[in-house]
Amino acid sequence: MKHFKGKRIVIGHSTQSSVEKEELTPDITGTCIICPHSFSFLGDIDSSSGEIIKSDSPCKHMKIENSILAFYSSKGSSSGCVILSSLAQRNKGPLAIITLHSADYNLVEGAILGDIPFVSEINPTFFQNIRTGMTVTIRQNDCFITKEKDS
Amino acid sequence: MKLTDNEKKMLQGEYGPVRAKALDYLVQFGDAFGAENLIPISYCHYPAEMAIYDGFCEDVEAFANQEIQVVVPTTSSTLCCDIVDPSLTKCPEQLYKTQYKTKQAFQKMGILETFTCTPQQIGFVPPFNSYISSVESSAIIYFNSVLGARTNRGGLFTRYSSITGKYPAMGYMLDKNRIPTILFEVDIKPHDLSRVDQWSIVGYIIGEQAQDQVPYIFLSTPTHPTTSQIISFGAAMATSGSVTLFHMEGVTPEASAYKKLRKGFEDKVVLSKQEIDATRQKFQMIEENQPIDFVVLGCPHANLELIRYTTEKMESRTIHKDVTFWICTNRMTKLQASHCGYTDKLQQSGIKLVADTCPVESHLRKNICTQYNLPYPRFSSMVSNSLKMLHYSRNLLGVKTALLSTNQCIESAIKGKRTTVSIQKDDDNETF
Repeated sequence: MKHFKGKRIVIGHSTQSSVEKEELTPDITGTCIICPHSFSFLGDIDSSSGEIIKSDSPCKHMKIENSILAFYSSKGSSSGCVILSSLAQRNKGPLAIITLHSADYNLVEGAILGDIPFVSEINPTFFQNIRTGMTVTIRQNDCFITKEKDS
Repeated sequence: MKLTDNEKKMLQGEYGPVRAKALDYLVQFGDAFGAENLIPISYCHYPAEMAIYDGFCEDVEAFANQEIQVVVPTTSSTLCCDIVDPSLTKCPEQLYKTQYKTKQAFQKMGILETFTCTPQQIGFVPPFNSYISSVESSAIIYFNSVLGARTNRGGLFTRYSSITGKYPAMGYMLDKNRIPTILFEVDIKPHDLSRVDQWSIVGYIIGEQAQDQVPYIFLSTPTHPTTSQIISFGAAMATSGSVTLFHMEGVTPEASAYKKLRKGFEDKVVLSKQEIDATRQKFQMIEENQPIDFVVLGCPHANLELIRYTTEKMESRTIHKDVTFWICTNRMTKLQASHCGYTDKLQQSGIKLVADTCPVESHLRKNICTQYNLPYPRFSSMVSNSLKMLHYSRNLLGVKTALLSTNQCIESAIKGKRTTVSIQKDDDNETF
């Protein structure tokens, strides 16, 4: 099975304290949305519905809710943290985030507050091998394809 | 992470459960990035908990009700309306009432009600090498680059820093991460880099290419930007990328330390007038003489000089009846503008001096219009001198855009259509 190494910055999916989180690193499995570009949570996403609105994105109109959202790097306004955390509070946020570049401090704050697992610096071949719609599992620092796209 | 005895006491609850939880979050955050310790900070710029995000005002209200106060000077960023006169932007009453909870909560917590994206323009100028924790990408890049203070791209954790006085020792707090990693040579004649909108374009291009790197910028013709120009430059860079720190030879305080590195960069990008024209074109969705209905100056928030300049340029003329014209600023500057008589004059011209907010952070967003049964898009064609404003407005406000000089924005507002040709000469000596 192909796997892609990354760096698990936020463990997520628990509400434990920092000490307890060290001991619990749950697997995350979900359908991937692959955004082959940098991403700003302000302006590229509808902050109410979680729909991608970036006009030149191949993922336009997709909702990030319960997906594993992968993009190159985060950019733009520091409101990104607020929007990610707000989406998570209303169960409209992603199941996990994967980025090609090192993690943006601002977005990681949102991920910690929203309890969203965050893997950064994923092996670049991830973006060559994974397509939107595939099922991916995140285990510790690694990402695996667990199901190819149905179509 | 190695904690001091006092930090351990805080984590164990000796300073109360709220501070213990706050420090726990900061420790988690620092551990995620391998920070070895926490460092004391001397200033915070806090995110305004905006009513356009569900639950945030109630959240900060509940937080403040725990009788917790900030321990370092803490300013606050923009709201979704002018908190003194929400009718200026026609903010829905319910949204205003929700937003007002933030104001009350901030008072309780000792957070200063500055409600601005440019606290540096109202006296919050942290010293060189000081550690701070800030939100607002345009302020962050200014603090780091122009002042040489140290902050990462902060978010909601500034709340925790403000009540503990701590932040993890990581990222741009550390010398090793402030070294430039990509060189930009800007080969542009001074005439093409003399106004705010032109600086905004160059910043935008650098941000697009640098993304999360630290640019070292070399201007082939040495130029000294004004405060407004360099604020606009950094704001654009932090819009198209996530640039948090840049060095500009002869301009920013840390650049001289890296001057020797200039010839050794692996990555080098040369910018010329051609790239500037191409980027301007990308935002040029309104043709010359086509109608416009929204003019926005003050992104980031305007200083008093821009307000004076606009007042003078209007020369008692009035804007076109179909145009809405906002100049966005902070409360302190608005009060000063009123003291100088500019607010009244602008009002007579049909221009609204709006404090505490801006269009992008207001109810004009599509999702808020839907929520409050307001027509969307409220405006169809926006002109501004800021690429940051236009970048976000395209998607969030659904407007067509055109980037103009400040003077061209003013003339377009008067004529009700995009106007550039007839006033080109006037712009030659303008810095806005």
